[in-house]
Amino acid sequence: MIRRLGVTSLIAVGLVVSFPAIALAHGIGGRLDLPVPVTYFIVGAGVVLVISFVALTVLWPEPRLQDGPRHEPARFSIPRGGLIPAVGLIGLLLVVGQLLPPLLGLDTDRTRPGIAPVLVWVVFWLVIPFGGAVVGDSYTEINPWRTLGRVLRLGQGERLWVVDRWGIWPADLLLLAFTWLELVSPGSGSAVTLGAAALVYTLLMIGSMAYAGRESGLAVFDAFTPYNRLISSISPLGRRGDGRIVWRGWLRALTVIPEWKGLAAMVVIAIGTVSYDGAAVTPWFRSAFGGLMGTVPGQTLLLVSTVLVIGLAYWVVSVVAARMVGDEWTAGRVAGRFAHTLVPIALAYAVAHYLTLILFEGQQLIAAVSDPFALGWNLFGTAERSVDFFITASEPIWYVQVGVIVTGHVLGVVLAHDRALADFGREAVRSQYAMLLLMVALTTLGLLILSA
Amino acid sequence: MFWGGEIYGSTVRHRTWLLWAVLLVASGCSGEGGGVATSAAVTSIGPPTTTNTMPTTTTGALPTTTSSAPTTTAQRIDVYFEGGQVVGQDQFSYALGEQVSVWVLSDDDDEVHVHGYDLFFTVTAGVPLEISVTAEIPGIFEVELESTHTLLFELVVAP
Repeated sequence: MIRRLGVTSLIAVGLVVSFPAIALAHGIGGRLDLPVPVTYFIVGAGVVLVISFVALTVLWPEPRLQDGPRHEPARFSIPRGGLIPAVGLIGLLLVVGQLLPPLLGLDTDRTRPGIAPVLVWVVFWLVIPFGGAVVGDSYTEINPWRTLGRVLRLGQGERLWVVDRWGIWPADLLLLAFTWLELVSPGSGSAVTLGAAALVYTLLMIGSMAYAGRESGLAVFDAFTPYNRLISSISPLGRRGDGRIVWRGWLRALTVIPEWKGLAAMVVIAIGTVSYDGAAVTPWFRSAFGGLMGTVPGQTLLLVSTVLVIGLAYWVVSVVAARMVGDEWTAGRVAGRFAHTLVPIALAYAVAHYLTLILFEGQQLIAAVSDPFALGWNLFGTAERSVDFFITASEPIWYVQVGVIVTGHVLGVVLAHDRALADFGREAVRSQYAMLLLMVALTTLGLLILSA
Repeated sequence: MFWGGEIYGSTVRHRTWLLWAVLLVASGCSGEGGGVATSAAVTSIGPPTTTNTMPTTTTGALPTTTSSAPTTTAQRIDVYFEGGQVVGQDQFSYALGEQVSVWVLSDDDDEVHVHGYDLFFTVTAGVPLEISVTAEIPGIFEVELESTHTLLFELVVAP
């Protein structure tokens, strides 16, 4: 029974329709993790508490990380240009190309998802940022819109005042919209919806680059440019101005992230949206908000509310810290100065939450490359490959999930401590009580969501 | 139950439902695990005249993907999809290796997609469909009506 799914989806694009009972959209898969056993939670939370209090007394008394990356040349190099930008552009074309079959009236195989969901929700949204956290920013080069801007010779003159005026607020809003598409939109698994969204986003990026200049436009309006810069700053590897791969030293790149306007909001959005997705499948969340969960506007409200709650908590912490350290500090300034300390926690949340999605649903890529448009092709003979759910058992995944969350917490505490020493001097330890409390709360929440 | 009136309306399409309900009452069988079916019978004893319209059973039209439905005892229905609403348990839990058996009844032709296992069952309006799977992949899997991505229930397979 092949239907004109494509046309239906096209109509659905952009419409916020209230469905009576909608599935939890995850963009891809329709599979959820089983809860982590409660013993893992108890051990993880205990370790977090002990480390946090020990950190207050044991950590160094002078700032160590604030002078930024060290730039010791690495022994290997990764070639620049050429193939990598082309790969990004091909990926974008494959996603936007999903609009062609319905436009040409071709019948698609409804049992095959096409390449768009796995490309967008696994490769682009997870593998590139997570990979960047290991090997340094890889998005800047693979970014298809930058390549497109180069090819089209867009944005020759940079208008830097656009960056100063707007910061990354436009990117923040687009990132929130992207997570809405992933977590709430009923069309998140539809290739045609993704194709249309990618087309709209591409037009938006072309306009941005033409308006503000290529680099300024992407820095302000491309949600994924600041997001990937934040996440990849954790990596000990980076690229020097001359293109050479260098060792930056652990955590040092994070301390020199430019304090764009809206920087804290991006970290909050990253933590809040993943929290929402994790919490939404827990029994207590469902029993509390079951009515709202049934509709798109209800889920949208819950998604935005979760982000706002995380944001409010961070704001309260900033106010408390600002009060403690003196008059020259405002809550807004504190919030900006400490935003980078939440990046490891945001990354840990995302890795723990999406680990199995990469391992399992990521395998769909193998089948999808053989039939990218779900037209019944079998280019490489792998179109029938199904997901192997037995490549790993549950226990190793639980260990990694809890371990990653605890590690993220430790890195966050270390970064916050170091920044407080640099900014507040003698008041540093006292000013960090509220921040430490927030981090313990976030980490406990992260573990709770995993085990609920 | 709030949905009793809607399901047992006067349209011809719903007579099959009535049949099941009547059979259920007659046999006194409550249907194991099918809480919905039990309460359906209680709330649906309609005017006696409607029993005369009892049509021939639709079990012969069962799609090949289901196991044969019992014809003499009442049909258990676990999840109803009717008028855009899903009624039934949210989750059905099984241990690894067990045989999943969830009966679904829809008022629209569609496909039921068991995610993860990636199985597609064709469901015909008014014809009970058994979602029959061996629970061999641990996890929580969404079972959806494919055309509208409507969540019918979640299949929970514990390791």
